Amino acid sequence: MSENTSEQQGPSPLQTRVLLAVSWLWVGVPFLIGVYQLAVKSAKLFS
Amino acid sequence: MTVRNGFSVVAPPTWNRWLVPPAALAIHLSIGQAYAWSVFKSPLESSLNISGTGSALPFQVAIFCLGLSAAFGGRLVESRGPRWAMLVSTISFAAGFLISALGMSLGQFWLVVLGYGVVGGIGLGIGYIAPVSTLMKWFPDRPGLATGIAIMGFGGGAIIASPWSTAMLSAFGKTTTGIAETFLVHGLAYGVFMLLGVLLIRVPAPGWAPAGWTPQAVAESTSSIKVSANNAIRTPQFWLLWIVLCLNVTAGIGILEKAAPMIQDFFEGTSTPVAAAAATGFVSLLSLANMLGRFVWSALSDRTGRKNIYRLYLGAGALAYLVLLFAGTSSVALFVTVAMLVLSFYGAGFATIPAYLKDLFGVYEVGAIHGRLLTAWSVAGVLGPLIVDALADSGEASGASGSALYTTSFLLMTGFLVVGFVANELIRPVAAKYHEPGEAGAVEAAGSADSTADEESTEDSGGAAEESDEESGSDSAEDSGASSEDAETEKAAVTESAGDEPASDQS
Repeated sequence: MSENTSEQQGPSPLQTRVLLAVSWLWVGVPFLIGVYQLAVKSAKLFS
Repeated sequence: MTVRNGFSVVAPPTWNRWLVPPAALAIHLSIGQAYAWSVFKSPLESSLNISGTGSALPFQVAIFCLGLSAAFGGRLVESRGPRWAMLVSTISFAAGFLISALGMSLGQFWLVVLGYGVVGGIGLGIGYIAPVSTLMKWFPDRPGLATGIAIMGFGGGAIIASPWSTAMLSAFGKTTTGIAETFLVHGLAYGVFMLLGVLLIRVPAPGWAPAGWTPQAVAESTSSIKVSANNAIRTPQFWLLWIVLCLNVTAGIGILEKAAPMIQDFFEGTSTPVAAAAATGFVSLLSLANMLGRFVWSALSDRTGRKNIYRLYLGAGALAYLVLLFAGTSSVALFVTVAMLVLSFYGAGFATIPAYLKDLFGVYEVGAIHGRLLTAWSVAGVLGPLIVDALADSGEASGASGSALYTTSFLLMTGFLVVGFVANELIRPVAAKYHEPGEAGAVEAAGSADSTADEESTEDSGGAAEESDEESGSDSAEDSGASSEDAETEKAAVTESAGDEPASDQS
């Protein structure tokens, strides 16, 4: 069955940009924090 | 137009396909936490007075259930769609932690095994296969990139989980109550984090294709190849790929399994000894290489062709082992760099195999075929550690030390990779007699795993549109509209290894 009109048409360009930013930050920020922690730990290997 | 059918959602025309990778990553980065289970081992052992073997049990059961649910749950995922699968995964994975929290608060370790191991393990398996085929539909022009993105997340989950879990344990304490609180926070946080994937996932509409990308003729496309899972295991191609995967994984585990003690042994008595604390940094770097290899090499395979990229994994991997063996002690930086290269090939071997299977057998039952290929990992998971441990123990017993403990095992690993290289060379297109009836005979020629960049583009031309047509006529394509699209989307449900063992757990 079909949903409401806005969903049928899909997000506007602005909504898409916001969705893209939020979703990539959602997964990217925790990952980058993990990478930072990894870099700190790995530095001991060469010090 | 957005269409819902149960949990399945077909994307509206303006849906940006780059919203799908974060949906997949939200699931895979979460379930990849399994790779960081070792963080909980010591606290569990001291608080519950259990052995190291006992504390490993929840992880082992989880990996076992991951394999079972990925191999045998594909049919359900096919019929219900990726959103349903992601929701089940989210609920199971979060519930696994919550049950474990209850178990710790009651001092009942069996509840941790049941929660994290069984319930959470089912979440791992279903979550693993949920987004991969959907990504392949959204990126018919780059299937290797698509699977690499998802499988990279699975490899990288420990990079997030390891420091976070450690911080939680420090904050709450390493008592049964502290661990229970840590599990509780994990369950709630992962539940919320994974919901992004559930809400964001969409399947492409029938006939959708990337802008500016035109599918080629059906007869030229490997996507028109339809080989059933039952037929696939009767082909030499399946068993050659089984050997390739098994030996590539065995070689990777050869380093993973003893990473921390290995680097200390190699530089024992040199001017640059490696302390235990620094050795954990080595393990972390191997995790990073394992993760990045899944993405980088798998994406590159879209340009080089699958057979060529496996030539690199196996050939360069064999050379890398020889460098470690004969020049490894000359420099810590060299040792770390080359070991990371080997681990990047290890991860890439998992990430590229779905696209290789798709090249050879088509998307018809590729999920089920890949599920059966998981047995290669099971064998490698036993074989690799067994070889390295047994030879190192035997060397130690006979008075050897340092890098000499690994000479024989490294030579064996090199030999394994050479055998894998030869097996890869022997892979040819699947004979027409194994194809499902009614196929165009021309597909055999297009099934060449030797595909070049041009051939890849031809192969990918099946895309969502063509596969949609193909599947709508198949037995398993359900009705029309969304459910049909989902059935075909999930037809390609690609299950990865039930457990490329985490460096952190194996070391």
